[in-house]
Amino acid sequence: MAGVRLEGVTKRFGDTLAVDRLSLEIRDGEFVVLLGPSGCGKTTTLNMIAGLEVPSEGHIMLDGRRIEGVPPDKRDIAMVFQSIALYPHMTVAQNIAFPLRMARMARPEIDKRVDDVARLLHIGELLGRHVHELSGGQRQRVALGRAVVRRPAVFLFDEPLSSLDAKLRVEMRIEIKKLHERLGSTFIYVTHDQVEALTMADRIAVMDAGIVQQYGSPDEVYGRPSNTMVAHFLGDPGMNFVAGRIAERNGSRGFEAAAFFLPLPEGVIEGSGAGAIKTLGIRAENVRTELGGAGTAGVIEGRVFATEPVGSDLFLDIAFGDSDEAARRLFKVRARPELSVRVGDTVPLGLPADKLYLFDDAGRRVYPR
Amino acid sequence: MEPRQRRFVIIAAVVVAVWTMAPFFWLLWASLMKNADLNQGIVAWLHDPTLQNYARVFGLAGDDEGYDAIFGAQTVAVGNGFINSLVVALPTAIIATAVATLAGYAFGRFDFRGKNSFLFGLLMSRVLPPIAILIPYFTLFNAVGMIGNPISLVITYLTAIIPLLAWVLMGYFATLPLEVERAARLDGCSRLQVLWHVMLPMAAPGISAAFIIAFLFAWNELLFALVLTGGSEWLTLSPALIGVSPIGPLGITPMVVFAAASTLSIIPPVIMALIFQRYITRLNIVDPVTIRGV
Amino acid sequence: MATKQRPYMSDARFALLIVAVVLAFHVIIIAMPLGYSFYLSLHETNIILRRSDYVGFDMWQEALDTPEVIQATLLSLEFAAISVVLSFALSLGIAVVLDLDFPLRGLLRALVLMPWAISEIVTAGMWTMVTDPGWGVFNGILVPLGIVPEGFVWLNENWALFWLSVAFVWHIAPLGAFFFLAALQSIPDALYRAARMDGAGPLARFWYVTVPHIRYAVLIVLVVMTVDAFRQFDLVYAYTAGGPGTVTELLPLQIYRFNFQFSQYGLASASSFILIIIATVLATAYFFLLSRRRRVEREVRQAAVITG
Repeated sequence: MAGVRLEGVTKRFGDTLAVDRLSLEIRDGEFVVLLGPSGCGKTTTLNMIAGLEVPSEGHIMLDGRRIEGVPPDKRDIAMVFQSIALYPHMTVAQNIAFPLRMARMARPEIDKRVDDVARLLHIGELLGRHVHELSGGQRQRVALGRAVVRRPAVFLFDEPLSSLDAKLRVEMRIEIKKLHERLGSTFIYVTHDQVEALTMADRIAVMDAGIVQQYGSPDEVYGRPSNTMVAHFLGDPGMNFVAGRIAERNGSRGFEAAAFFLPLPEGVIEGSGAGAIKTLGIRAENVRTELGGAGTAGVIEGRVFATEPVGSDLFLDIAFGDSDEAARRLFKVRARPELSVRVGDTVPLGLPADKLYLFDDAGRRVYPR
Repeated sequence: MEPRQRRFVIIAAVVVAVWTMAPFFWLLWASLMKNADLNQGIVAWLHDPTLQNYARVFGLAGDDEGYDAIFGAQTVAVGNGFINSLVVALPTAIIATAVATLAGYAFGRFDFRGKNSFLFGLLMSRVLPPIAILIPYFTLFNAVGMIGNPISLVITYLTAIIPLLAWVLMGYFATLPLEVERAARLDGCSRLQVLWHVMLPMAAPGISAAFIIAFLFAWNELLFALVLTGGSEWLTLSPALIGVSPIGPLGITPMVVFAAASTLSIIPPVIMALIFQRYITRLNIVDPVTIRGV
Repeated sequence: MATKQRPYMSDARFALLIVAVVLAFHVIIIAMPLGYSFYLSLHETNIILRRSDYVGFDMWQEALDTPEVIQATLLSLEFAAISVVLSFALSLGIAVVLDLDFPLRGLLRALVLMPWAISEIVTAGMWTMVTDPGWGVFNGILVPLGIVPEGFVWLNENWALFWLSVAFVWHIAPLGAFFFLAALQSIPDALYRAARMDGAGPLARFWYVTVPHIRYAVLIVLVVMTVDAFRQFDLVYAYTAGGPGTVTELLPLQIYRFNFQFSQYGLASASSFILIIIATVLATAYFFLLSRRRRVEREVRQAAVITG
């Protein structure tokens, strides 16, 4: 078991910079998710930890030892792949036993370990089957088994659930989390699915353009996103943004957007420092549609552009104004499914001050601090 | 399908079948005739079929038509040709497949500087006319006294066939899923162990196909064999067949003997073609993308 | 930071190492003989005096000045042209038939490959049985019907090259057919159904759905067949031996005669460079086509098979 530390790791492919001076500390036994859109460098980072790619610069430490010069087969790291990558010419048992065979373990010991793993993952009855006889979920379990059987220091996962259907994905998510609890090993998990990240991780490293944008617990990255990228990437739907600036109107200071002016309480603007505020953000679930109570920082109006009922909730796509521009930058609001609105209606929207976010011209969060 | 359409399809299939099979039929037909009957015309009922022509290929038949005195040496050469061709074709196919597997793996799985130039070189040596390679080879082998030595033939065959096999296997390796190879690395395989334990078994259909291509080439080839083993005890099957061919340079052996020898000579290729057809199907019809999903 | 740890061997280096080994082997067995051939082409050898004199490019000049060499080159071009047209049409035709649905289709697919697997000598033997003027199949059927006169010579001066092409095409077309078949089978059925929904008839479907999908297959088959037609020696030697007269004496056969029958080593080597130049041009064309292969990996794999 061991922690992993990346120090100023950079990876270039020709002229493309895939990972840019990335530093990350992953503690022993921690479950860390590298989250980001495709092309953000998360898989490249994982491959470098695995030894499948060699960093152009920087160091990778496993348990305090530098391992850039160690080939993948000598790193004591197991990996589960996106394509699952079982050996098609072997049975399930042979697949799971393969790493042990490569380690020249004695036959009885191999058999015992394979049996243990099969019991752990409930795949005992599949051991004699060939890979092509398995369903997607079964394959995924076998792939997990092949990783677990070695008892490696670190487990790497490269989007292991993306090839499964939605139901199975939820099931395996729990399975992997349980596995982590049981084994207590270090898990590093790459995904572009923020739900997976939020549900499984101890800490999430949100990556974009080869850089770690934020590294923190799920609560932190969701509740206190360090910039607009993180704020938009986490949550479904992502955070709503409205462009504008701080201005004074009728004696009160507030946020002025093209379509509305939202007065802000004293503390908000003071608290946000002197940075040039450019963007107001609020999550869909924090916008209030049923007004009547007091205590809202402000109420604005928007036109319902489309409605998306999803059963438990009703999402409203709000446009401010009639322009094409407005139709492209929709503002998502979560409402109760009973709310009766029709497309074209103008609805009042309450934006509570304690749920607002403000971002500066570089996209950095300035409020709340 | 409408009946009219269906009839058309079946007619088309029959045409293809006849075009493909008729020459095989007539070869077999002629091989069962007596030479005197063949000279009356091949399109005739086989009223007196004989296996003598086959026996004669191995020098086993009685000499009732009086040919053996003249042609005995040539027909014996055909019998030996089977063994000689096997002795040449097997090592050729084994060595060529082994070398080409390595090359195909490197070309198909990795990117490296100068890969395109290497590929072009590979292709160039594939399209070179055999005669252009043969002339210098003959002169060289002649100088070191290796004419009539099967090793010289194996060497020339390797030059001719390795580029092609490497090309075939490169294509095959390129379709294999990359992540399985990576998984093997993390499971503790060194690079060569990955090749041995994982890539070779996965590439087995492609490698078998390559082996068959190499074997067929060495079994069938005439020009190199003629020049490098001609007149020696190592005469392989193809030049031996030319020796008993009534249309060849000697032109005096009875056609029926040639037909029998030819029929025997195509047994291994035909079996291999039937196997190879399976592999072609696996190379293409089973979409590699579905294998990738494993 | 001061010590730069040396990373383990990169994938690219590992691959290069393998390739270097293979290529070293290859250079020794191909490039050296070719260089030697070039050397020979610059010398005139007199076997009686057992001497070899440097004559520069005289032999090349002589090759180009020799009417037989020019004639053989033209014949090779003609043979390649006829063969490519025939084998292209035939392999596409066979592929289309094999792609249809009929009883025993699996069996026919297996049998169709057989002509490719057998040797050119046996191919020549089989076609002799078909075209022999005395007892052959053609005359055996057509003479009684009164279509051709008794003893009609099929391999006559005008048609020998054609029948040589037919035999060659019978031998080579099956692989082209399998190549096309694979391309045809790679076309998703949904496309045909969609085209049908859009009101496309059989011809429109062939043109707008089939043709775009087999375009690369077509290009590659053409080049590969051309290459093989220019290389052909075995079949010519076994079927017509260049005759009647020299009407089927193609360039490879002629070079063979120069070298092994007339001992004109310099002239043979010089003439062989004509073939090498043609091959180089074809290889360049081939390579150019294949370098666009990202989209058509499948075809490439097949193309490699077909050249066997």
